[in-house]
Amino acid sequence: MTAALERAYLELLPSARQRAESGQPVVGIVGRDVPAVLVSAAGAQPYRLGAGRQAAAPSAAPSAAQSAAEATAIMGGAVDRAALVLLAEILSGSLDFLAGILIAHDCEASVRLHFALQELYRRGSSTIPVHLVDQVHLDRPSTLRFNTHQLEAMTDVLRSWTGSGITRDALESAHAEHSMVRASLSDVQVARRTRRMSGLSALHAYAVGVGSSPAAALALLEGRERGADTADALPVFLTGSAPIGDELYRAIEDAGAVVVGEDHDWGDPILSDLLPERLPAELPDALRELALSRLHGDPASASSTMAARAAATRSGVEATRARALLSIVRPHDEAPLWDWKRQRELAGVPHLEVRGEAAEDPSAVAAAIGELRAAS
Amino acid sequence: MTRLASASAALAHQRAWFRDLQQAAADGQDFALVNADAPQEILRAMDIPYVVNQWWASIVTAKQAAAQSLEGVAELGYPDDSRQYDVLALGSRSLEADRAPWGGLPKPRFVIAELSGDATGKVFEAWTDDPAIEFFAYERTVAIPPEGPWWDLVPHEWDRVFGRERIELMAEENRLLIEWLEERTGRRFEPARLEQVMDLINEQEELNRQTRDLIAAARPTPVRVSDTIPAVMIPQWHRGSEWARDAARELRDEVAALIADGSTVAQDERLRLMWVGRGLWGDTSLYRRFEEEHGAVFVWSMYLAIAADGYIRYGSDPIETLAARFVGITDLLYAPPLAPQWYVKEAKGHGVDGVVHLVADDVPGASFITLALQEAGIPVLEIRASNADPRTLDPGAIEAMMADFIGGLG
Repeated sequence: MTAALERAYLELLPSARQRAESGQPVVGIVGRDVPAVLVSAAGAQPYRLGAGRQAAAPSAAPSAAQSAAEATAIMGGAVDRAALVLLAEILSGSLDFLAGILIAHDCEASVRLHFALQELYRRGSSTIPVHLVDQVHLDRPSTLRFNTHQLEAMTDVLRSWTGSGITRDALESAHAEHSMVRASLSDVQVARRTRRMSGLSALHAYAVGVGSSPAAALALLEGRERGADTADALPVFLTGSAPIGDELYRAIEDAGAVVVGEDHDWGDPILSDLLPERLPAELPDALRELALSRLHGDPASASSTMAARAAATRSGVEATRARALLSIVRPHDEAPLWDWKRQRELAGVPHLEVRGEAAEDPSAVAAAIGELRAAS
Repeated sequence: MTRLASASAALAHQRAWFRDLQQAAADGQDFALVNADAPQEILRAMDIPYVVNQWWASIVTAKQAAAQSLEGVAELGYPDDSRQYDVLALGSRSLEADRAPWGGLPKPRFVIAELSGDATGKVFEAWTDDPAIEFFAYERTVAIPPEGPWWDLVPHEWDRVFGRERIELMAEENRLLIEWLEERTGRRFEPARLEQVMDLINEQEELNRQTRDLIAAARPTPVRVSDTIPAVMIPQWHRGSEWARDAARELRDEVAALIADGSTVAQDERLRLMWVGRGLWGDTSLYRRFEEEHGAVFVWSMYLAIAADGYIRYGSDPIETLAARFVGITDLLYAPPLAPQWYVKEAKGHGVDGVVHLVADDVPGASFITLALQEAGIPVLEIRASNADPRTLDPGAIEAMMADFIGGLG
């Protein structure tokens, strides 16, 4: 299972490109707030863009340095590197097969990425159209109405990109498929919490679950052995910045810990945006349910209060029976820095924050695990 | 020293007003701390005093108390290198009495802000560590491309700039804020009073527009931006009052008189410069430093220009009209394509020879502003620094960069 998942993780980009070449539109998604089920219902494959993964594609390699420099010139250096890496990957041309990119308003870096791509497209410097799905996050009726309208606008955009409107049958079918993938990902969550699966494999599984066609994801996720026994490793709950690629998880787990849960939007929170078993038949009602599911999902750092984040961290530590809390925060990812005060006060387990340049240094991360092991 | 009587009068008014606010707070009167991007007009209409967060940050910075205030933020357990402009007021509460500017900011009862960026909401939530302080948040929605030149559309056709849904959301939030304040203060909101406030603001901003147009057309320039900034911004923080409207008229009349008298900033004006970005409150003399040697004069800052173009709104429903003023006010300054188009229009209108662009960490789209200006044939110097964090500023280096840039323009 572990090796198969890793292979599938590494093959996400070529698989998506192959699908596009075979004639099915593939739509890129940035952020957890974009409901992938609508992309499927519009007849396209949703492909969740993860910073650091597209760079693995050989076609991207020759121009990687040039694209990185260009991305920094466009967005400036004072932005979370995840957005810079993603923009560089888009500029490299490795994603030119996409019919369009939907970007969530989940953090400032995503908004800046949207502005950059919108301007590049308007100026003719990019061939990929882009649309911001402006889901905002206060739990108020006014916000829900606005978010529902945003999803209506997203369906119009999808129609223009794919040529297919969303029918009731298509939505039901997509919902059923996505629900099955979620069920499989829930099994993954159980496996890692019972120490039968590493955090690295779980990260790969989540990426495959949201980056492949539902059918392909199911084939990989269902009915497999769950791999390594991680009972001897220090169970760590991870908070802070969403990882770029999978190197961070490797560094943590190579140092003698296992990531048993996390609160970034590539991990467990994907499962918290609960959909009803059956979506309402009318599209506007279904869109409202989709908007509501995200509003009531686990709080993301950049779009929720410090109090909500601290409570969610505490719940996560308890649910996963983590024995340590590790926060890793990249430069220019401001929100997790603010969360940390209340998170550590509520954690109930030894905790450590690695921030700044050290957050991307595997030896610094390994040292942090050493400290946590000593304290636990 | 300021050359404008209207700037001196505004500063004197602000000191007297703040002393009264301190006294009222000491007597138990509730007041609000409001971020500049959130509507203040509802507070004005309900006679609830308020302090604008960015104004207080500018005072803290000008009084060289920013670094110490940021230390106060760190002592509270929060990062001192994030959202410095937003967080200075919180940090300044920890200053000793003899270090606190103007006798110090009293404790607010309410804090109000838009959830801009990733951490502004958290900055304001941090105030609520004191359980006597409550926070009202506005959503921050994202700019859409306008259907035309926004400066022509916004006074009457704001939907075509910001989109109907964004305005409706903020209008609903305005109604929520009114209920929230009524519950907590016992005061009643009167729509007719808000209409009066909105009328006064349109008068004030129309006067600012006339002042901006006078300065744009004048050769050589009659006033420094370091003078017009306080003369515009202090009345802006009192928007909706008769005093603010009258102060805007006095500024307009004073500028017109200076032009009529042939008054000039520089004896020999050879270069006209534009300052894009927030003001360098810690050293406003920087704007004057190149006048004598290079004949280089800053003729433009965003403060008068955004007052002229960004605030005027004419509508029948004051709640919605207010939403239309605020829903995209920061978009106009920073988001592409709105902001780049506007800066080019203003640069051309003022006949500038070069632009100094202060790029802070927390603003999007800066590169597209620079690019648009350069494509319009206007040289740009980018300076990357926070105007509110002296630790990120090297005054000597900035001055040297500007000297090189200005020297190259000549």
